[in-house]
Amino acid sequence: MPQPAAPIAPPKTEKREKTDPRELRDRGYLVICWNDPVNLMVYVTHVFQIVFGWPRARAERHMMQVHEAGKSMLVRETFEKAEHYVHQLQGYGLHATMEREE
Amino acid sequence: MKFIRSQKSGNDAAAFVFQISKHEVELLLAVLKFYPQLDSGYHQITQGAAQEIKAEQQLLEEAMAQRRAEHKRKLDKFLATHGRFQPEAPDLFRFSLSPEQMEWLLQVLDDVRVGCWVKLGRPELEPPPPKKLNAEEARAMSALELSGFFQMVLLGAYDGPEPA
Repeated sequence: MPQPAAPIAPPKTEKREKTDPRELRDRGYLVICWNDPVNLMVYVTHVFQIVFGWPRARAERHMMQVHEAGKSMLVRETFEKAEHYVHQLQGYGLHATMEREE
Repeated sequence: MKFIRSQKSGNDAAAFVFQISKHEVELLLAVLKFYPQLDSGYHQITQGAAQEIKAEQQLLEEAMAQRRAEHKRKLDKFLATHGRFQPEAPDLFRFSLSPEQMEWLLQVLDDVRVGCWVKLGRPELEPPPPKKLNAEEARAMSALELSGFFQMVLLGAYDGPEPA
């Protein structure tokens, strides 16, 4: 059976000095996928599997959360990784954003 | 259109082999001509108010524009490849996609689907909008539905061939 393309690797990040003015970016950032009526459920599941390398069951759980609750918090990451994931998800046409964790 | 089997060739990853009717080829090519539909303004990096995130909005738009240009280049090459659809029987063809081609074709089809949905005013699709469509809207709705059909066939290939 052919396999989907390999999951997309997130960028490696370097630890920053405490004086780095961008230290806020090291706080948690949430990657959230929002519901829309146009993306197919099976497609959303597939995208989660590809972008995060998740097994299907986990991807489906988040897809159903998006569908039923209107959104799903997918991962909590550093700024760079969260941005990377948002770019990947949006490249696939999903409505995904990054939000600073309060 | 249906998934037939996987086909391994040398050290390359196994390709996905599909059977497609002449009419479906015409529909697929017609749908692909809609690409790209989304523009960079569609993409939003955040829904929150954090300024340090909003500063990255332009980067996202540039990344999406770059990705679309790359996909368009691949699509043009895909469509220009002589013998892409190999005749197998009268009105029946066979074609194959590498795992990488599967992924970008899924993204291209989704761009058409989502972009047409945006052009239609982002309606709820279940049940279908009762509004009477003009010719342009009808074309967009057809492309939206057809791109979804082809996405389903491609995604179904990951589960293997349908039982005979």
